[in-house]
Amino acid sequence: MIDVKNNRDIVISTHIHLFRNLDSFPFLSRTNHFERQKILNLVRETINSNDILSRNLNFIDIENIETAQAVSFVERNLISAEFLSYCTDRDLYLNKDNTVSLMVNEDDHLHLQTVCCGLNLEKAYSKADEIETILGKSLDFAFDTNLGYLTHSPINIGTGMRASLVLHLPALKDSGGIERISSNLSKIGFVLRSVYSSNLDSEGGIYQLSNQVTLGITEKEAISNLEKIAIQMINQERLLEEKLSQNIEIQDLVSRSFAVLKSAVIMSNSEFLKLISNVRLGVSTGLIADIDYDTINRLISELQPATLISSYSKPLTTKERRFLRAKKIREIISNN
Amino acid sequence: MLCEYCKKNPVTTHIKAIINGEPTEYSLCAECAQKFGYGSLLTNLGYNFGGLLGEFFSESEMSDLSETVHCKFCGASFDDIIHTGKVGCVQCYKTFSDRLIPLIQHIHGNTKHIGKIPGGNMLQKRPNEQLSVMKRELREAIDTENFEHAADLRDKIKEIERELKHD
Repeated sequence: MIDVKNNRDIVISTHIHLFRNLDSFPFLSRTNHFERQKILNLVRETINSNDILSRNLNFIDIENIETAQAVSFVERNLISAEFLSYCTDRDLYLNKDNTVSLMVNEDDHLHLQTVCCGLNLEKAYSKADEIETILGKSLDFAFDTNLGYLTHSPINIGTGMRASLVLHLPALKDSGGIERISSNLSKIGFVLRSVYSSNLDSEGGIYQLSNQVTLGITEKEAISNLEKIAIQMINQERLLEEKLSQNIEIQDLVSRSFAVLKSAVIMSNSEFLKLISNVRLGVSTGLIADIDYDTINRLISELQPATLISSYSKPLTTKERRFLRAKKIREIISNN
Repeated sequence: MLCEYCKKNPVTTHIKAIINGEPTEYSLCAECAQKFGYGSLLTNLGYNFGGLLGEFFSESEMSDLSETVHCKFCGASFDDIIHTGKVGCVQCYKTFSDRLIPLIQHIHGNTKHIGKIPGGNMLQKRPNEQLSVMKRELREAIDTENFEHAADLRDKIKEIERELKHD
């Protein structure tokens, strides 16, 4: 293994979500415009009156920014697609490097997300916990002694915390074992699902693993259980990748994929996801040495359709987009 | 770009499908994508509660539930909760606890929170613990001659103590 800091060969990113509601308002589906505005104001005042929060969190005028830029936030998992669809009476705050996002009036009054590279649950949680604690000093969060933090869905009550890991599992996918693992995991309170498609046959072999139980468990336990499961999957994936990399057909596939990425003139998003997945496999098994995980992750995040468009001032056709994508890939790889 | 299906919301999801042998591309908004079974990383973080309710309560139970008890705080009936898949407010958890608690037990295998509790939150609903925190803060406020804050705290403490007596 060349670079396995934070298990970055398999784990792309760590996400912590905290859901909170304000005690004196109904949950969002039963609020009116005035109540929603009041919630927005309370959160805004809280952020503005605190040094740490106001220095770190920037208000994003989600209602009035370009659609492509807003969709790009969705593609980069900074906000949910639902948040964007009904963006009236909603506020968004992001920190400078997009590792913290706070959605106000999403499905719960507050949805705080922190992101870290690789497997880094403790760091992501302590960041989220720190911000939540500051917010909780001025905001009166809905809390019940028995049921913990109350959320609009009983699925998240208790800690109100969902932790998730984005994993690259091309070898497990290739072995056909994902469905079995997913069904076993669901029995013990974890969810494994594909990120870029609706079924488990993920394009690019990218999956999301998250905890399902939020009540009767502490945040630390939930995180440590998730980590244990993740480590098992990482080890299994590495073993299978090791085997795969001995196969000359796989070596050929990896090497061809890299060559196509470096030289194609037009590239669709789904072709790109397949190729980059093969290249990532090449890097994690040591077949490819001249590209690193940061570059691969940057490619994955910057080349999705809207993110690609948002860096351009005019709307693009599919063909133009594919041309631009291929061009950007060549640039990013050659600057690597 | 607006969703091809509902023509209302901005496109967030691009979907490729083979229809009658022809590759076709759709551009959908979050709501429609969800309807057709496509989600993003942030969808399904517990939002399919409606479906779960349907699974949990049998049809006969569902019709039994449609009597007209409404939550005093937000006005939701249990019927509303089932149909929207969303609990109306904090109070609903009390009003409909006879039905929600078994469901919560089913989801989490547990009904007792042991995680974080609100720390610096003055209005939390744990009167006894809250009192001791507030009294400590009152002492600090007096020590630091922050009398305005101290007076405010003293009033709140009195109020909580009065509530405790009534309980």
